[in-house]
Amino acid sequence: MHPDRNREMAAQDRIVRQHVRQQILRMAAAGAAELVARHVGRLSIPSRLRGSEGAPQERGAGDARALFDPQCLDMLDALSLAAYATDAAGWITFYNEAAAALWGRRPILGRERWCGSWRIYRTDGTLLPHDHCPMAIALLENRAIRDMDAVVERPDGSRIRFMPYPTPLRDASDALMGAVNILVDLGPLRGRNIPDS
Amino acid sequence: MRCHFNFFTGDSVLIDDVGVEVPNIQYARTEALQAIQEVSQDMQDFGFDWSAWTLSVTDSDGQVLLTVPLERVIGETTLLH
Repeated sequence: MHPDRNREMAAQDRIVRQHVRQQILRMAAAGAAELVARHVGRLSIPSRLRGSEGAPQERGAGDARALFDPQCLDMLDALSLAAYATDAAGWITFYNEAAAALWGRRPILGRERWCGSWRIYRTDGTLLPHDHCPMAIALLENRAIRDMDAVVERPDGSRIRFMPYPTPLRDASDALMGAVNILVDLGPLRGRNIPDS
Repeated sequence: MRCHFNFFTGDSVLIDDVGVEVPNIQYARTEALQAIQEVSQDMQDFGFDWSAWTLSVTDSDGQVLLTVPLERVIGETTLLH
C-alpha cells in the first residue's frame, strides 16, 4: 500500500476513535464524577496542609494536589473532568486544566472564593451569586450537594451547562477542612433564555 | 457513510448528534469497541458500572446499524476482531 494511503487511514482511525472516545467520556463523566467525589470525600487531610484558622490559604498547586489521591487525578485527566478544591473558608487552593478550560479563565489561588467561574446562572436564567453557588452551600452547610445543575458564563460570553459535585473534605476528627468540586460539562447552552447582565 | 455513536441505559440516552464519517460498519464497530476498551482501562480501578449501558450505532437517517451491550465489551478483547 502506498505510504500516503497508510497515513490517510491512520489519520482516519484517530479521528473515528477520538470521536467515539469523546462520546464515551460524556457518558462516563457523570458516573465517574460521582465516584471520584465519593472517593475524595473519604480522604483525610494531611496535617501539613492545615493552615491557621480563618485566614485565606495561599497555597501552591503542588501542595493542594496532595488533597487528591494520585489515581483520582489520573482519572480526572483521563476523563477531562474539571476539578477544584478550596479550604474551609471557600478560598480556591487548587484547580486542574479542565476546570480552567470550563471557566475560560484562571482564578488566582487563595484570592478567589467559592468558584473560579466568571458568572454562574441557575437553569431558570437568574444570576447565581458565588456565595450561593453549590460549592458555597456545601461548605457553609458541611454537606455534599447533588442534582443542582447550573450554567457557567465565561469572560467571552459563552455559556456552558454543568453539573457540580461539591463534596466536603473532613479530617480524621470529622472537622471540615475544605471541599472538592467535580464539574461535569453538560455542553453548550442551547435554546435557554438567559438574560445578559 | 456517516455513523452516530449513541449510548443508552434504561433511563438515559446520550445522542451523538454530530457523527463521524467511516468507510463501513465493520470499521465503525472495531473502532468503537477499541475506544470503549481504552476508556474502561483508564477507569478500571474506580468501579464504574458499565453493565447498564448499550452502544447503538445509527446512520444519518436514524437507522440502527449495530447494537452492543457494553458489559460484553469490557475485558473481551476477542470482540475486537
